[in-house]
Amino acid sequence: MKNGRIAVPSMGSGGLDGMRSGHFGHCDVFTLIDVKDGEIVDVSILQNAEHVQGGCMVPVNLLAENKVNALIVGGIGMRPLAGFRQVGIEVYHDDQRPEIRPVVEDLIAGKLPQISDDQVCGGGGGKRAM
Amino acid sequence: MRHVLLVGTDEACFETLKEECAGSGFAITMVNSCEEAMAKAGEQTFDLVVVDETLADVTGLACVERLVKSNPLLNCAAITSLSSDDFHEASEGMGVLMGLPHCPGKDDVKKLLDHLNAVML
Repeated sequence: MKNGRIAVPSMGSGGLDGMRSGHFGHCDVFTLIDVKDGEIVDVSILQNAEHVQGGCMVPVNLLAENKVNALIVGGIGMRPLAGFRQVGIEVYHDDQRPEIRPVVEDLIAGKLPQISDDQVCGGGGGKRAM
Repeated sequence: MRHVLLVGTDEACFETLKEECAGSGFAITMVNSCEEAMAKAGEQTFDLVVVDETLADVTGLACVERLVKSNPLLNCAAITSLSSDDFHEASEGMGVLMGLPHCPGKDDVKKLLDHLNAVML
């Protein structure tokens, strides 16, 4: 990824050296990383909205309104994934590393895979977050 | 006017749901199968979809999965006989508003509509 804004669901106060949240809908904040010509040029924090059952589209709309281009998750449900795809936000997957920085660096380097349909949480047999 | 799509074969059990939704200003459309529901949802916008546990063609949750995969903006509720924990497990990731008991009563519908309003704020 050479240019754009990356969002990472984060614990606590977030930040590039912070820790990821395993469930994007329940994360404390989103760490937003602005990338230009393959370099990180800015890092900011976006407060998550309150999560209610069935309110999957709230974070989708929140990130779309904040001009996010890519999201890195450890796990995500089928409905919000469909929502992100509908608004044009690409969703990338890493369920191994809890730190924010390495997965962001891998996305910028083009080394992080997009999530596939068989990696979504749910239905009793779906994948779990980190 | 808001629109609700009811999906099920047991019309008698949907009577209270229909009355309460109509009383809250919803226009009501009812179909028997998931295939018909998919077609209706492709034709017009619905603010709420309520799916029975078993339909003419597939299970209710299988239908919810098809509906929200096709249109993630759809807010769905599902009638279920599962316990709360089992329903949560079975519907995880689908973003279902809530599980409703068979033949939902006035209080169930009120909770559902209150929750829908909270989500749509």
